[in-house]
Formats: sequence, structure tokens, C-alpha cells
Amino acid sequence: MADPSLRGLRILVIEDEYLLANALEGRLQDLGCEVLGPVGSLDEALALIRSEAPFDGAVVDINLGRAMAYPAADMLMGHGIPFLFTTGYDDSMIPDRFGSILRLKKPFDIGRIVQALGRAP
Amino acid sequence: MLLRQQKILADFGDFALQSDDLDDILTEACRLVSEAMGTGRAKVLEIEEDGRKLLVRAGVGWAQDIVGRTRISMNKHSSESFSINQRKPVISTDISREDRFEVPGFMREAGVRALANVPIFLPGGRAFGLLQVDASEPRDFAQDDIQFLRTYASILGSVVDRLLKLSALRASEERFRFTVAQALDYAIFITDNDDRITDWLPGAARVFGWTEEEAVGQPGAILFTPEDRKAGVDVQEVVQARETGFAPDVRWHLRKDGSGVFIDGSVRPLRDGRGLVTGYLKIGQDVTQKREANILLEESEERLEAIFASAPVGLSELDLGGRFLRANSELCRILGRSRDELLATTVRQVTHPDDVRASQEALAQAIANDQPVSIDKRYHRANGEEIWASSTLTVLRDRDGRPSSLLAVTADLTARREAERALRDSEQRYRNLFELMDEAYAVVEPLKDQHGAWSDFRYIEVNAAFLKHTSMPWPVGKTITELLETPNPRWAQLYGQVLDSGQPIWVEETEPRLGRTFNLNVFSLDRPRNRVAVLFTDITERRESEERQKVLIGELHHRTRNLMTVVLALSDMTARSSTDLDHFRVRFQSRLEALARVQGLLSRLSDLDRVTFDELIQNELEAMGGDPDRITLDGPSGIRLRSSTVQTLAMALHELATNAVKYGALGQTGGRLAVTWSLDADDHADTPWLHIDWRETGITLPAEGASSCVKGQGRELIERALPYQLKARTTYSLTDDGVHCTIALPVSASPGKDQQHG
Repeated sequence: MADPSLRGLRILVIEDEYLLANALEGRLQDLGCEVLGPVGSLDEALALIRSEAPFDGAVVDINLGRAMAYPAADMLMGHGIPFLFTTGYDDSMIPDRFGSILRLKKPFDIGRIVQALGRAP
Repeated sequence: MLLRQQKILADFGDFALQSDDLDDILTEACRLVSEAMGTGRAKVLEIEEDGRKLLVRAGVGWAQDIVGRTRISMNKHSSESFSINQRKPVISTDISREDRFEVPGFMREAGVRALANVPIFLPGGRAFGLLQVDASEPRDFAQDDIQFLRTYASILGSVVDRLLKLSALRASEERFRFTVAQALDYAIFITDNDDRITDWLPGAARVFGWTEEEAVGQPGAILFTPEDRKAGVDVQEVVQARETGFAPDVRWHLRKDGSGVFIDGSVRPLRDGRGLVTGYLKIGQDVTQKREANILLEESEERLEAIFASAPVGLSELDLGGRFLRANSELCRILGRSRDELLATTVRQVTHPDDVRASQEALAQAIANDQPVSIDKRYHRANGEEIWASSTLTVLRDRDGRPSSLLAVTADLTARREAERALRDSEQRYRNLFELMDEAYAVVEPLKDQHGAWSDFRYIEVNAAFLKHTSMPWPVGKTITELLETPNPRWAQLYGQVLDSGQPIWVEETEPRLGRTFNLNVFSLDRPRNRVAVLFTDITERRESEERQKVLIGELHHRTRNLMTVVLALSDMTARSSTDLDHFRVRFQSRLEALARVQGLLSRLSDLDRVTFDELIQNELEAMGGDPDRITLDGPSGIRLRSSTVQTLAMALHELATNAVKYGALGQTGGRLAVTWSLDADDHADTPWLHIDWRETGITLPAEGASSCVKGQGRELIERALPYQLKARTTYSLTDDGVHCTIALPVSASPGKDQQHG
């Protein structure tokens, strides 16, 4: 189950649902990753990116309570940090600039996140 | 004296023979009598036609105003009446001593003192009147005098009789003469036994053109046409008249100038005292013009008859009582009866009972006013059908101008009325439909601007739903620009386009001024009059509802996904802390049940409702089977939780309750649980905070290690998940007495302010 390719990577988790964030965190830690966060709000996410970048990857929940996570995604792109979106909504109005970003619809198998992160550049 | 009287009688006889004038003779008689009696006064009284009065017909010694004017009443007190009735002379020797009779006033005034009345009878006994001798002195009339007067009166009677007869004859002759002279249309002439003309009257001269001189002596045959003469018609007529007493003569005759004259006449034989035929009286009327007029009339009547028969309206002639005299085929058709049936009945009998009165009045009015009268009324046909017809009655008059019959022109109204009624009904049905239906209906007239572009429109007609859907004030007669105070070129073009193309369109349009969306069906109603009809429904609510539904469905998908995500996360979390599969199964199932309970609470809510904390805590403790006697709940009810927080909070409370049931206050006999809460809005400006205090007491702590991992997970949710997800402030401590946990979290401030999010 462990994927050696992810060992030692620093991964940011942005997810406002605690149980999901906690589960992701646990799985990533199991794989030898260092988890940044998880954080459940845009402000925390932006603060963490500023203080920790560069790092190896991020899992970004698009809907963070009343805020959208796009500013955080922009910042990640600005740092050249690979990331993927998770979302509970159908194809929501995701801006074109994120057209190439992988989206995982909830509910998803956490294993897919791991796979996706493994393939991320 | 006698001689003198006799002479007088003789003189009178001479006079009477010489004169034909009754008044002259009577006056002369009075003069001679008064002379013979030596009274100077005498008069003749004539019984008037009514037999009640005597007129002073002639008189001598009497004033002009008496003679010919004064009348004496023939009552029982008059000596005159008495004399006439007794048919003998009556004498009053002295009227001052007279007690039998009343003497007329004018005679007393004239100084009459004595009088003799002698009745005058005509041959045959009829009374003519009286000869009355008036004396100015009392006088005892001698028997001789009386005899003289009687003789005189009887001569007078004969003379009067002759003169009266002569007078009557003269009057008759005058009338006859006058008639013949006037009746110039009548040719009257007499022929002798050989049918030669002997008498030729003016009418004959005028009709045939021959003068009397020319005609007399000619044979009657000259008046016949050559054809009739050749056929012996002239002779046959005379023979027939002689043998039967009468022969008609109705044929063309010849005038002197050779032209024809149509005579309607006859021939009668004239006979002498012994009954032998002495000649023939021929009388004929010139009816040439009348005949021509008759021919014309007949032709005209034939034409009229043809028109009458074939007219496309009902025609009938009625007598003044309403009986059918004639009826044409159309009337028979209208009234549903044969001609024979109609001619045997009256208008009244074929009229609907309710209309009889009006019908009879119309009939009477037409006769009385000489004005055509029209009436719409019902008839009943022979088969019982009821029909409506309109009749116009015109009175027809005879030659004297008296109403003789009525012409009735009758038009079948049933078809027209039924068509009208059908139209009215249909119109009413559609009107009802349009008024009752929920679709708005309007008739509009598209209007062009000065450049010929469709720019505005005017409302011509709208239904009730139109007003409801548009919330407009009464729009009929107004343009949309006037109504909305701004043009609506889009709709104007829409309507204009339909008018131009004649093609209907269906379209969904939003009117920004009204903030409403309409589904329109526009079709051309009356192109020549620029009328377009629009049927539309306000689908604003439907659209909004559809939008809402779309959002709700999206939200449902979202929630379901989140729920599944949570379930997956829960299973992951549970699995990580489970010792074996059974351990996992029991705890995972319990957590899923808690999750299902909170979903149940949330799903019952509408948009604006919120789960309240008391509801949530009671629901969870009940589900966990907590003994109510050991539980104290204390806090305000109705504290509204944010929907986004309910699930997480519920899961945290579930972990607390689970632990309490298994190891704590709800699982041990002496244990107690007190949950108290309060709302505190003071600490934070705009968001109220709920403070929850969970305190377990009276329990014995279990052996270390047995429950550490379980407690660890409940504690993790309290200490990490609530702050992470709900921005809650929490404390969790394990005292000697049991668990003490506090949770403070922001709650919903007011209904509707809060919104769900993922």
C-alpha cells in the first residue's frame, strides 16, 4: 500500500471537512509524507503557502465554507507547486486557467489522491 | 151668395187648369175663398212629412213671415188636428169663448176671432192639410158656407194631387235627363222593329261618333264590325232579345271613323200595350279603356301572381279577421303547412300562444293606422316545431278606400335567429373561457413609428388573467409606452412581425420593468385591422421554481457526496482505531446511525428552518438509550444551530454519549449526566455563541487502557474537529468524578441570515 515515490514529500492539505482532512492526513503520513496543515479556511491556506513554499504538492478543496479556494490555487501555480482539486459539486464554474488541473469529485478513494500526487510533476 | 160662390169655383177651375204651379194655385185658392167668405183672410196648411206639424203653405191676408214659414203643432188641443182626424170641418165661432181648442199664438196676435177648418184630402183618401178661413169678428159660419168650403176643399185636393204627381214626374224626368246627359259613356239608342235607329241619345253620339241626324234611320248593323255583320251577330242579338227578353252585347263595335270601340251592353225588346215588339232599346257602355286597363291589369296581376308565387319571402293575403286568403309556397314552407291547410285557418291559429296577443294587436294596428306594421313572433308548425318569423302587414283598400284585406310579408327568422344565437352562445363561451382561463389573453394593435418600424402597441382587449399576470392597471386603449412609461420595442417588434408574416410564434420573454418572465403565443387575429392576439402565461414563478429546484438538486448531490465523503472518512477513522473487525463493525455502525439521525433532522427542515440545540441533544441521548432519571438537561430551548455545524456537532455529542453509555455516567448505576447550555451574545459583536457544559458525575473510572483509544477518538473530535471545522472553543477533561467537557461555538443569529455551504 505504501508508495515509495511519495516518501518524504511535503504535501499541503486544504480541506474544510475535518473528518476528510484527518483521513487524508493519516493516509499521507502513512505513506511517509509530511503533511502541511490540514487547514480548513482560505486565510489559513494562504498563510501556510506563504510560510512553507516551496513544497512538493497540494490537495485543494475548491469550496472552503463561504470562500472559494482559487486564490490559494493561484498562489500554488505562482510557486510552480503541483496540486489537484477536490470538490463536492458537479462541474462548478471552475475558471479556465485551472482547466488543466485534475479534479476529484467527492467522494473519492483516498488512494486516487495518492496516485494523482505521485504522477504530478 | 151661392151664385157668387159657384162663380168663384168656376174661376178657380180655369185657373187651376192653366197653372202647373202648386203655390200659385193654393194662393189663388186662398184669395178666392177669403173673398167668398168676406173675411179678407184665408190660408192653406200642409201636413209636413213627419206628420207632426202643419206648415202655412199659402195664405192671403197674412204677413210674409207667416206664409211658408210658420208651423202649427198638431197636438190634441189643436182644432186643426181635430178636423183632420175627424175628416170634417171644425168651426170656432168665437175663439175668446172657445174651450175645446187652443188657438195658436200668432193667430190671436193677428186678431183672429173666429175660424173654419176644412180638411183637404187627396184622391185615395190621404190627408194633405187644411183650408182655414180666418175671421176678425166672431162669426157663426152658415151651413152654406161650410158646404161651399167642403166642395172647394175637395176640388183643391184633386188639383193638388195632379200638381204633386206632375212635380214628382218632373223631378224624376229631370234626374233621368241629367243622368243620361252626364252618362256620356253610355250609348243609348232605340231601333224599330226592323232594327232601324229611331232615337239616338247624346251618349250614343259620343260613343259612336255619329250625330243624331246621321244615325236616325240607319240600320243598327252599321255599328257592328264587318266580321260580326258577316257572321250575322247583329241579327242574332235582336232575335235573342225578342225571344228571351234580353241579349248581351259585349264585343268590339265600329265607330263612324272606323275605329273600334269595345261595348259592354245589352239589347232589350220594347213592346206596345198588347205586348207586341215595336222596337229595341240598346244600351252599352264604352269600356275600351277599361278593357285595355283590364288586360294590363290582368297581365300585371299575372306578373304579380308569378312574383307572389315564387317570391323568396312568405307572402299572404289575409282578410281583416286574419284568415288566409292566399299564401305562396315560401309561406307554406316557413309555417310548415300545406296551402290547403293555411287557407282553412287564421293567423291566430298558427301563431305561438304567447305571441297571439301581440299578433292580434299588430293586425289591428295595421288596419287602423294605414301604416305597415312589423312584428317578430313565433309560429308553430303542423309538426309542433316552433319557428321565428318576421311579418310586415300592409292594409289593402277597396275602391272606396275602406280596408279590404291585408298583405303579409313574412321572413323566416329561425335560421337567422339560430345563427345569431349560436354566434352569441359561441361568443359567450369563448368569452367565459378567456375570462376564466389562467392564461392571459390580450388583443393588441401594433403601432409603427414615423419611420415605419414597429415601435409600440396598444391594448384593445384583455382578460382577467392578463391583469393578474401583469399586475398592470387597466390597459385597454393605452399603449405599452404609456403603461410602463417606457417603450418596449422588443415586444412591439414581436407583434409587428406576427402581423407582417401572419405566422404565429411561441416565445419566452422577460419584461424587465415588470420583473417577470412570460411564455407568449402570438398570432395574427385580424390582419386588415392590425389586430394581433397574444396568449401568455407568467412563468416567472415557474422559472424561479425551476431554478430553485436546480439549486436544490445540486445541493442534494452535494450533500450526498459530502455525506459519502464523511462516511468514508468515518470508516477510515474507525478502522484505524479498531482492534478487530467486530470492534470496527460495532463502532462504525453506531457512528453511521448517529450520522443518519442528524441527516434525518436536517432533511425535515425547509430552507429557513434550523435544527435547535435542545432538539439535537435530546435526539441523541434518547437514541443512545440514556436513562432519563440520570440525565439533567438545562438550558434555553430554540437555540438555532448553523446547518453547516449540525453534523459535526452531532458526531461530537455522539462520541460523548457513546463514551458515557459504555464507560461513564449513563453506564454506571450511580452516574449522573448534567448538560447545561446558555446563549452568550456579549463576547462577540454580531454572532451569538452557544456555551455547552457536559458534566458527568458519580462514576468509577474504568481500568486504564481498556478504553484509552476509544476515549481518544471522542476526545479528538471534541478537541480537534470542532475547532477545525466549527471554529469552536472546547475543553475536555477527565476528572475523578467523570468527564467534563465544554463546547462554545457560534450559532445562527437570526432566521435566514445563515446559509449552507460545503
